Amino acid sequence: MPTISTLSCRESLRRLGVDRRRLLACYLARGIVVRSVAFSPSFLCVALYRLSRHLYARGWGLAARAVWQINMLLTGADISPISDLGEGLVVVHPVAVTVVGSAGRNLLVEGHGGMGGGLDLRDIGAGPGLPLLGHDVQLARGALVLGPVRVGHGVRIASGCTVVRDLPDGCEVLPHPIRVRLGDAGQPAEGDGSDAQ
Amino acid sequence: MLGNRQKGMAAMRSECYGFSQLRADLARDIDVYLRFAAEYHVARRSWRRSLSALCMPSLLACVLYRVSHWLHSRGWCRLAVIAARFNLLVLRVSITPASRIGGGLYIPHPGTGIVFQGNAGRDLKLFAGCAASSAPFTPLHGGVMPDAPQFGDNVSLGAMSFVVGPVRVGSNVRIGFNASVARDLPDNAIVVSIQVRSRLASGGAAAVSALADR
Repeated sequence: MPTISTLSCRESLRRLGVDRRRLLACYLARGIVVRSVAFSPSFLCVALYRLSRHLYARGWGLAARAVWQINMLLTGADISPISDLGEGLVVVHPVAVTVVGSAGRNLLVEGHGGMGGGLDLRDIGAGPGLPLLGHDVQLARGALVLGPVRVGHGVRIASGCTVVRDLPDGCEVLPHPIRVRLGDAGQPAEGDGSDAQ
Repeated sequence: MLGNRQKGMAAMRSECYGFSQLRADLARDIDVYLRFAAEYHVARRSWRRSLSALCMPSLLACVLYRVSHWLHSRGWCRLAVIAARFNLLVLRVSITPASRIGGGLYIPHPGTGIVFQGNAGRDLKLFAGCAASSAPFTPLHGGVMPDAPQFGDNVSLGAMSFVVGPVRVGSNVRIGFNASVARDLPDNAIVVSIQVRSRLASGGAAAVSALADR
């Protein structure tokens, strides 16, 4: 991950371009034809985050904060400029997303969750109390990574799970089991949320 | 604006959602809202109360969704998406304009971020921060996917509960808080999430296991 001092204008735009291509690939994987992603809230929140991150890295903290708050106002995603996210970031549904911390390439956040600090203020490289994620991490809906924890490359966290400890490379966090009770004349059935990854 | 050329969209649009249907659905929304409100605050039903209820955020979200769905069924997809974006911007409720929801939609706390993509019958209740979306990692677009969840009548989605993927949920289903559902549910089912890992200060283990067994 490049440090703040190397974040040039070209690097910011390159990252944004990769983000855009990855979002388009998300649409194409589902067989949806889109003319442009320019007005999609998913793209808008990532673009505004890249702008605020760029301003922050240049030392224009006030402008960065203004763009960050405009992002929160327009899309509902709270992606702080202090968080360093690699290229290929996709936020699928930006309402109620909070991302503070650092991540590698191709972070995929589905919505209603994200990452951020807890009460422990140790610094492991992302800032006081903030998590450090590897490349190709997937956060499904409602997944949270909290506190100063290291999450390895290629980790997939299922929906509704909260991670508060370190995870090795390539592991997968399974969803909470659910219990289904039938109202009338039926046996209770046990089951899990199946693969909601 | 996005995905208008998607296959099957024309079929979805041809199904007529007329203005009278819009009015009937909204009347049922207001009725459900006032019935819930009457649990906390007794007031005489009158046309002025019905009209003033429309200023409440939970009904504004319903109105904006209904209008965007009406525009979408008229074929004015761009206007429909603008109305849906306005809903997202002001009330943090992002309901795809193509999704069909019957009358009696009730969204008590819209500011918490609600995502809905799919079809539902009457009397759907969307509690704080719940989400129903088609297959995982599908961004927002103009049309409802064929693999979006289908709900019956009188379904309630609890706070922070997530329904993902092409599942069929029956009628009178209650999905509890924080449950993530990725499978079909029969009629009258009650879904409870099992995630008790909390530590209580002293002697709480019995209480916790009792909670899990409930």
